[in-house]
Formats: sequence, C-alpha cells, structure tokens
Amino acid sequence: MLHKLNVTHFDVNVGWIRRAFCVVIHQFGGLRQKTPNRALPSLDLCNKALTSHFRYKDDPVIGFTLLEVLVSLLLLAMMLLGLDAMQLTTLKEARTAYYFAVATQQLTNFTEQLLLAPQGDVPSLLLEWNQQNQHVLPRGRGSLRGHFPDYQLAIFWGATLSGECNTPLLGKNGCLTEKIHLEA
Amino acid sequence: MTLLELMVALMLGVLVLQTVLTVYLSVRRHARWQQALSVNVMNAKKVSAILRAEIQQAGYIGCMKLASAVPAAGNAFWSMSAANQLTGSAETLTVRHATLPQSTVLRRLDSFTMEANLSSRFVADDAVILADCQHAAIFQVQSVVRLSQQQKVTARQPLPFWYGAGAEISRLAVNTFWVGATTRVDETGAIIHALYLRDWRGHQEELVDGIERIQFRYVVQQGLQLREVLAHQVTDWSEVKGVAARLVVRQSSLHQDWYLYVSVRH
Repeated sequence: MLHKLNVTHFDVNVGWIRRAFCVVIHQFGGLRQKTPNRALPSLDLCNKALTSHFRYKDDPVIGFTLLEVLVSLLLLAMMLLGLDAMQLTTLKEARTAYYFAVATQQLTNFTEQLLLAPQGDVPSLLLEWNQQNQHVLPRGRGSLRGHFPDYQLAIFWGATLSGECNTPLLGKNGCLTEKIHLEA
Repeated sequence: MTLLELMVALMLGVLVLQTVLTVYLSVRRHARWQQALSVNVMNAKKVSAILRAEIQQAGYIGCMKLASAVPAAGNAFWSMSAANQLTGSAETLTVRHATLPQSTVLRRLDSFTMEANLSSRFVADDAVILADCQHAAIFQVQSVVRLSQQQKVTARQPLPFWYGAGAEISRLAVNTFWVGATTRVDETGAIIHALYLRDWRGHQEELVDGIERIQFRYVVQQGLQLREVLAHQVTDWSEVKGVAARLVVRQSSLHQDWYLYVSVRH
C-alpha cells in the first residue's frame, strides 16, 4: 500500500477554515496517528496541531492516502461535469430563446404582409417569406392554411415535421402557429 | 515520499489542472457566446420596435387623415403630404408625423396665439401641427408662456384658419434613421456601428448600437401584387404601402440577420 504523503509547513490561521479542514480530514480518516489501535484523532487534536503550526514532516506518518486523493479527485470531477452539464443546458436554452424570438418576428412580418395584400398573390409572398425563413432559422420553413379571410400561419425549424403545428413546440426543433382573421 | 508517489501525484495534479482549465475556458467561451446572442436579439428587437412605431405613425396628423398636403407657414421643409410622409434610400429612412401625446386647444386668442392644455409642453422654436379634423397647418412656435393649468402658445406667422377650442396641437417629427459608425471599438478592435436618428433641427442621436448594417426596401403595389423595390425604383412615394428592412446585428464575431416588415397605416 502506498503510504501517506507528507505535508510540510502547513499553516492555517483562519479559524473557520481550520475547523472545516479538520472536519473533512476527520470524516475521511485522513489524519492518522501512530497509535496502537490506529484510531482517528479527535477534532480537538487536529485543531491543536494546526493552531500550533505543527510541522508534519517531523511525523512521517501524517498525510493523505492515495485513496483519499482519488476520492477527492472523483468528487472534483463530478462537480466539474455538473458545471459542464449546466453550461450545456443554458446554451440549449439560449438557442431556444433565440429561435423563438426569430420565429415570432417572422410570423409578425408575414402577418403584416397579409394585412397589406389580403387577396393578393399569397403563394409568391409565401415563397419569398420561406427564403427568409431558411436564412434565419435552421431548416426554417413556413406554411399557410385556409382561405381569405381566415388563415392559419405556422413556422417550423429544425427536424420538426412540416405537417401540423397544433401546439407550439420550442427547442432545437420547433414550431409556432398563429391564427389570422383579415377584415374584408 | 517515494518516486512512484511523486509521479502519481504529479500526474494527478496535471490532470486536475488541465480539466479545470478546459472547463474554465469552455464556460468563458459559452458565456460570451450567450451574451452576444442575447444582446443581438435585444438590439434587433429594439430597432424593430423603434422603426415599427415610426413607420406606422408616418403621416399621422391627429384626427384628420393626410389626404392633401398640410401647408407649413414660413418653412416649406416642414410641409407634410402623402408624398413625403415616408421617403428614403437603401440606407436611410425619413418619416414625418405628429408626435404623441398631443395637447388640446382650450381657447383661441387671436390669429397668432392660443391657449392649450399641458398634455404636451412646447418650447420656443418647436415645429408643431395644428389640426381640427378639417384643416391642418404646420407652424413654428414663437414663444410659450406656461400657466398653472395651461400654456399660451404664440406662432411666428398668422395661422391660415381659425382653429378653435378642441383642435389638436402636437410636435412635428421629421426623423431620419440610418446606420453609422460610432467612435467606439469592440474587444476585437472592430468599429461598433449603431442606428442613428437625426431630427429636423439636425440633432443627431445614437439609438441602438451593435447594428452593423441596415437595408431598406419599399413595398409598392403593382396590380394586385405587392413588390419590394429599391428606393430609386419608387416613382411615387405616396404609393408606398410599407417598408421591409434587413438588419445585420453584430456582437464580437457573432453576426445575425433580422428581417422587419411594417405597413404604413396613415
């Protein structure tokens, strides 16, 4: 078994840091003494040792075991992975919010076009609008159902199927829909 | 400590440092990207809101519809008609309208002076529109005397019609919008561009930064169809039904396109 790593000049002067350090060491059984029964030292002993600027190199058996270091590393790795996962989630949410903002704007734009030309050449307007959708959204495309004066406008992006959008769907793939009633 | 222990400790230390550094750099990069994305969307929405409000108000003169030209006493530049309520080029857009809120004339004192409520507080040299749902005129304010409940507004020139109590009086806006360079640079050293507003006095104001480019096209009706055309293809500005704009918003190295389509309401 690998023996303890020695620590030299370990000097902790701040009270709460010292206490926290001792509690952690105690919990992991890190601060051991050369005693017949190999019992863990009390917190008081640990505190005392640190307060008096105890030089650990004078006592070669005091230190951390490799197992303790590995467990600490595992905990640290899990923490960092958690942080990374959090980042990924926020990234995804930020992207979703962006797609939603763009899709809403595109729906508003097309509604304005329909308001201007309620009985105009809707297919050519739709064609131009879809060119914009492709430009601003990943695989963006829109559809228009119905006849004057009632239309249902929908916009899709990502891998969402272009068929129907009964409920708004937000995410990497999504769709939004809007009902429009034009005055004759 | 044995050599083996030292090697293991070193290896673990390097691994930990590498992981921490990688996570830190990735967090920083993602945070910047998210911030740039949010700011881009926010700026694009701001510009959309500003231009939408302005374009929809183009030609607004109160309760009266802008059917014929509104004469401007003393300054032809201020006159407003369907032909100049909205004009522009590929990079600039100029709109004319009465601003809100508007005041109501309480009493007419003579052909120059009237008393109005304090809904909108005027100052000397303001260009204002006076309209009573049948007539409208634009004039420049000579002086304003503010009383506790009202203000006495005196015009520089006599007004052509007798606008009595109930007429609306509001400031005239002749606003030009364009995208220009600011004096600032971003962290990559690139010049920051912004949307600017210039009023009829020539006062220039930066409205929203992070707008790299804007291109206006004008919507005209050809037969039953609407067409988006460039400014030089517009033959009659009174026939312009709307404005289509394409913005390029930029933060750091993140460029995004944003489209805007607004119909003229008045």
